[in-house]
Amino acid sequence: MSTDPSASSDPAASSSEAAGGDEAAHTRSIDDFDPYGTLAVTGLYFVLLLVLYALMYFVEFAGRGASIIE
Amino acid sequence: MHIHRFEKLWIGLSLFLIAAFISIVMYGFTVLDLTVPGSDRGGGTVDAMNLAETPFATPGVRKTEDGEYEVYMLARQYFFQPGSGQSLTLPAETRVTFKVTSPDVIHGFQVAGTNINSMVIPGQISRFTTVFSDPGEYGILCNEYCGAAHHTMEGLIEVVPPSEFDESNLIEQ
Amino acid sequence: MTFVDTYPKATRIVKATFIVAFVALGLGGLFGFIQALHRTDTFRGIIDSTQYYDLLTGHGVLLALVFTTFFIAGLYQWGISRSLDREPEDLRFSWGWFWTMTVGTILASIAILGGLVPGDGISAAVLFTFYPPLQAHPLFYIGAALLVVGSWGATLDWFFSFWKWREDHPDDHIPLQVHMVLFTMLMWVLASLGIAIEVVALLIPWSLGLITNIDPLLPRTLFWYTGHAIVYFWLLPAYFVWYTILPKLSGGRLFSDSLARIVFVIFLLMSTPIGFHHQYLDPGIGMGYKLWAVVATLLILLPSLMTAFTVVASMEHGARQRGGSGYFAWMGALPWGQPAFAGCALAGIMFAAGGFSGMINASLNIDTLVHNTIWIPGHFHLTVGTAVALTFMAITFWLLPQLTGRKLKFPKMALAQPYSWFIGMVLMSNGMHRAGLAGIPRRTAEPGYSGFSFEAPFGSIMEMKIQIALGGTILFVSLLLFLIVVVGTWWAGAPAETVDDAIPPALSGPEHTPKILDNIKLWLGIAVVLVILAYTLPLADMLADGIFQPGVPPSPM
Ligand code: HEM
Ligand SMILES: [Cu+2]
Ligand SMILES: [Cu+2]
Repeated sequence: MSTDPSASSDPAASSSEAAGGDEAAHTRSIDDFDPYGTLAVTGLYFVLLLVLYALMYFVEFAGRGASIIE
Repeated sequence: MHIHRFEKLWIGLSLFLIAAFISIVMYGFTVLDLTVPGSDRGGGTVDAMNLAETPFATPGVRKTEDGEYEVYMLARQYFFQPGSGQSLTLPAETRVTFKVTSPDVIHGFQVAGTNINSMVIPGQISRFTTVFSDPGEYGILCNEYCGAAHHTMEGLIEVVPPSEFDESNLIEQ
Repeated sequence: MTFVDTYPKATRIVKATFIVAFVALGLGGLFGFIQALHRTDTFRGIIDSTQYYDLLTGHGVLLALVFTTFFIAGLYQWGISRSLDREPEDLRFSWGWFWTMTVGTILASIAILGGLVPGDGISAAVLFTFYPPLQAHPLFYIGAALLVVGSWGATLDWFFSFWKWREDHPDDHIPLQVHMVLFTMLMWVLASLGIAIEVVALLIPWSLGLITNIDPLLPRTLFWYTGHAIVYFWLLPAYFVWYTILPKLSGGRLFSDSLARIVFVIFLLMSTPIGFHHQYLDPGIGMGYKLWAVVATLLILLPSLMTAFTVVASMEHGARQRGGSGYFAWMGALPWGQPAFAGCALAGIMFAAGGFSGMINASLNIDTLVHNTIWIPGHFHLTVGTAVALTFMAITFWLLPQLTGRKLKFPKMALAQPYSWFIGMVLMSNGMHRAGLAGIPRRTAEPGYSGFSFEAPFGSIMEMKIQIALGGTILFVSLLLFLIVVVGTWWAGAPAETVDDAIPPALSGPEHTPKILDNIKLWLGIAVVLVILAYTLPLADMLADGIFQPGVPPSPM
């Protein structure tokens, strides 16, 4: 099993690159496939959510003039 | 069951995110005093078809026994009373408690550019307290559809420095 | 051999539901286009501002209620028939629910469009939330009730098929698509009880004059009992597509069968008991219920975040099969030139953004910043208006050949459709979100006031208006492209020799899935208990002073 994210984790993949159909789905089980790309994408989303949320809450919202305080 | 280790990690991150959001909201709610209207905020209910026997019969600003200001306001098709026609004058840097209700349909009460925003529901009194820190003009608008002329329903609050606030216009208790 | 050859009877039902769905989509989209021009003051020559609310009612009802419900009915009928390998058990029953829903839609539409015809005494400018004491013509409420009852009929129909299948397969796992259909529909039946009670017990007798005064808070609360869960009734069928079809369209396989089922189980449990987050700013609802709604609403992020991971991982699997590599570069290897794939993937990207504004909306006190501003339509055009609607349109491109035996007509237009929708929605939704932060209200024909003006935190109000108007125009063009492709294929598509309709199994298949995830009775039981816990006390509070107290007379619209 490859841990290098730039290499396809499925040895059979290269032979069926172009097919795109069902035959392309060669990976046999979930453990033959480490979705590094997914981890990267969702990790980025996670950071973005935290930062944007904090900005919205503390700057846009809590920073406004009058609020309901009671 | 079979869960990939990356997915376990992601579920952990997701739970962290949820916990962080809940904590931020609770922090704002308790420490920063950023709250919302609700039935346990002392508003209570009122008979919308018999407002004549309530303070809403003479809407306007009052002073309570503890020296705080209260605004009794009606949101109705299609104006705010007080607020529309003639602006509602309030002192800056002072606690002001609004009590808003409606004699006809559901309305919204929003002060543009602020976090003052509440539903106004016939039979219920929206009660909330705020402080305007800066003097100036603040627009009021109805943000819940209330009928064909909903888009014309607006008003104005004029916030003046506390020293300039004229108490002779207050409604007598 | 494809769906239409194997299941000709089911095909006719699916096609019928799609026809109603697409007529509603076309008409509703036209109204949306007019609204976008009108409220930004780009062009106000089509309607006057009082008619704006008739159109807005039509837009909300036709798109959020009619288009969604009919498309879901067709999509799920397709899923049930192909997964269980069965035609509907009793065609009279199937056509029965179809016509119940359709007659309901026609009645409600007459009531709404009647408002545009002066002097006919029929109107229903109450918007799709129809808060009393705003009162519509009785046909509006009767139509809404029939639409809901019809959807219950569809649910029963699919359970009939499932029970029959069960007789021959006593020990099998429920096929994944069927699991998703059944859990969505159970959630919907449980959730729609609120609106059904509201409409049948209160609003129909009230609109007929049998009751005069009504307590506005009670129907509003019943509406939102259904009103939050309904968004998951729209969303779960999009998840159904993302989990079971999108991996194949990407050239790969679903990542995990068990996680997909867990997600649907959580939605059954958690969708309904959180409706109070739509009433954060209501007087008359206690703070305890609101705080509970915050926690529960944020918790329901979990199944959606899990979905994001599983769906992206399935796409990545496809991309790597197609030669993709790297942390981010693999995305380039996905089949962006295929309309069905592109539509689903772009819908997913939009949903990530809509998810963010949803997290904001869920956060109690920050609602005082965004509540009833146009930020809210900005949010839900990303969710139901794109994540759901664009997925439905995209998957139509993939389903049509199976339903008609014809090749997709105008493939270039089909490919332009999801991209133009995406661009239009980026503009419209960006304009709406930011205009909302400036305080501009939603549901308002002329959001410009005589006594004051809005100040933008950044950017300018003018630029936001342009984005909304331009975005709305592009969206409408995109919608026309969609309709042209559909009508073209249906009428004049070339016969297809072979249709690629196979769906490969999951990487971690049902053999790894615990049986308990298939236990319908158990999960339904827990869901009912949660609803009872969440709603008994607040409803008891509201009813304590009498069902119709504190009351007000109706205000006909
Ligand atoms: C051609 C594409 C579309 C355009 C141009 C459009 C435009 C608009 C605009 C401008 C509004 C705001 C009206 C206001 O608050 O004053 C609106 C509201 C709304 N839209 Fe859309 N929309 C489109 C597609 C959709 C789709 C596909 C859906 C759902 C499936 C949808 C659901 C809604 C709903 C539920 C509302 C709220 C109605 C209400 O407040 O009562 N729209 N739309
Ligand atoms: Cu209004
Ligand atoms: Cu909701």
